[in-house]
Amino acid sequence: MTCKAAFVFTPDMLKYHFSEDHPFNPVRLRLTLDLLEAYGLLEQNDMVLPRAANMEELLTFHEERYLQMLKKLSEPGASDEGAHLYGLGTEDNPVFPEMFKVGSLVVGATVTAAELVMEGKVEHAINLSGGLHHAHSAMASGFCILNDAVIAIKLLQKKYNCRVVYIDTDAHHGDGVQWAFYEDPNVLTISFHETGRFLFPGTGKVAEVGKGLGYGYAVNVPLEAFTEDESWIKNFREVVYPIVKAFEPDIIISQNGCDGHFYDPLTHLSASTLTYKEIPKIVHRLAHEVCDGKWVAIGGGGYDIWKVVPRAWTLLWGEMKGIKVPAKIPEAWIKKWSAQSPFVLPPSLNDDPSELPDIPRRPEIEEKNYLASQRVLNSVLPILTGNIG
Amino acid sequence: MLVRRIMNKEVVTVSPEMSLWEALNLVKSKGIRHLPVVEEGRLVGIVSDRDLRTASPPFLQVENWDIMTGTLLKQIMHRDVITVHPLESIDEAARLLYEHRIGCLPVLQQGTVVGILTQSDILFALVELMGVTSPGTQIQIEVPDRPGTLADITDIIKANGVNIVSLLTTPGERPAYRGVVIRIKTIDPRKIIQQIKTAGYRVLWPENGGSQHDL
Repeated sequence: MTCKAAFVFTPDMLKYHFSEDHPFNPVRLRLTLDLLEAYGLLEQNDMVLPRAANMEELLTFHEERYLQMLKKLSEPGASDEGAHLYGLGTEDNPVFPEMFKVGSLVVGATVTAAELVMEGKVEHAINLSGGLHHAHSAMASGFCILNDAVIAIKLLQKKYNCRVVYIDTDAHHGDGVQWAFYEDPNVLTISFHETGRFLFPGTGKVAEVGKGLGYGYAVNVPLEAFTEDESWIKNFREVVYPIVKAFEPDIIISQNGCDGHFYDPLTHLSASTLTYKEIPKIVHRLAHEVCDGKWVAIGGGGYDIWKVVPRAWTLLWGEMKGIKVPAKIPEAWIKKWSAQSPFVLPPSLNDDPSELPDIPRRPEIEEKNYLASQRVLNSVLPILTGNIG
Repeated sequence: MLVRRIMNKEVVTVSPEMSLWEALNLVKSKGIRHLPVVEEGRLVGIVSDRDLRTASPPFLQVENWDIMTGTLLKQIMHRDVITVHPLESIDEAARLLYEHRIGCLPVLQQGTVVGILTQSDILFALVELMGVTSPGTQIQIEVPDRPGTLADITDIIKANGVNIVSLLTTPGERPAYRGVVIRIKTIDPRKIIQQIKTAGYRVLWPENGGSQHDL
């Protein structure tokens, strides 16, 4: 089954670039686009130009004083006095040229994707520059300045009166989005991530289930470090299916950080590209089963920009379009980028089993993950299905 | 951190002349488990919900009604009450609760009950101290128990321009070593960890084999 999907993109989004040696590197998007083209997966018809988010839209989540600071810092030669209070001008989130304008464009692209889907122009839409899930209302955090997912969800609520499921499979907890809707029963946030015991941001514990009216509408499955495909996919399927079905959303937004791959330098999960093939498959199927296919996918983390991001996001777009992508990476792509890549580029979308790390602690890791997902199901599912006590 | 910061200031106190029946209803309606007993402004005893239930007859039959209304708190209360002062430290209060196996401590200032501290309050304070209040990465470091090691580590963090969210030291897994648990406000701690290792300290980090170490 092939689906009608939009690829929201403009080269200006590649300017979301903190500094030359910063790990959040837009070259990964160039590599991904190029791989998609080499595969012949991007048609002119799929491409949609985004609009920038306007001030009114940004203010649905962000505080005015924060936006003013971002604007001020965007001016050439601006002093960064007071910027630290907003998490800006730090090692993680340095000031970069036009950061307000570029940030607004990235937000606008996710908003555009959501509008395209809701207006019925396409079934699915993607913004790989989005997924900036750590941004708080008045604080930049973890490479994220403006929170595109939160603002798109606010728009979906205001303009279309939607019930939204947000599914986040970045290796880091989707804290910014979770806190934004922590007391809102019309937005169900689900985050699968490496446990915050060591990893940033530290939140995303099973016990974080929402508050007030939103109690039961936040779901967190922290995975143990070194979690592999089988455990991740199994727990994802077992938690996400019943929970999303019980919630009956109007639309699904998925955040597709691919930094849980075993090559990723910032995290300690041990997924292969199989996880990044299976997760979109599950989300895609669910979207058609519960909300007439309405699905917006956004990007996220991914710090092995050569060996992981292009492959993971090619699998994502292929799934969205309903096209089975041949595993063999086109020669042309490898040839084009080999000279610049510090690593040997992988020949296949699938990871070679001999490359996978050996995990002696596997049984205890799998047990812990299983317990986490069972605890989540036991605490949240009765609330969502209305079968309490 | 001192007791006065985490104690409950609104204390429900009762008179020694209160009946068992009234007291049971009170703990139930207020959702509390301990009642300090006060006479002429002075603390004279304490009863817990468990004391009240133990003193109650098993079934509420007509003849038992007299027991419920006729038994007064002064007959069942504990008279040797262990108390704390509002300026006592939380760790001392926790030790009292633990050593005496009791559920709460009335907080007394100049003979007057000014607050109450329960096991749950202590646990909550612990959650606040150890929990995540701001996004950050947690690193655990084993350091020899000698002067200056903590300064070495915080210097490295400072040199990297990263903020410290919280810091805790622990007795450590091995003798003559201490554990340092630091939350730093960055998503990318690689440089800092490398520099701490280069300075000769052992950084505990997720491990795929053996057993996961802990501080």
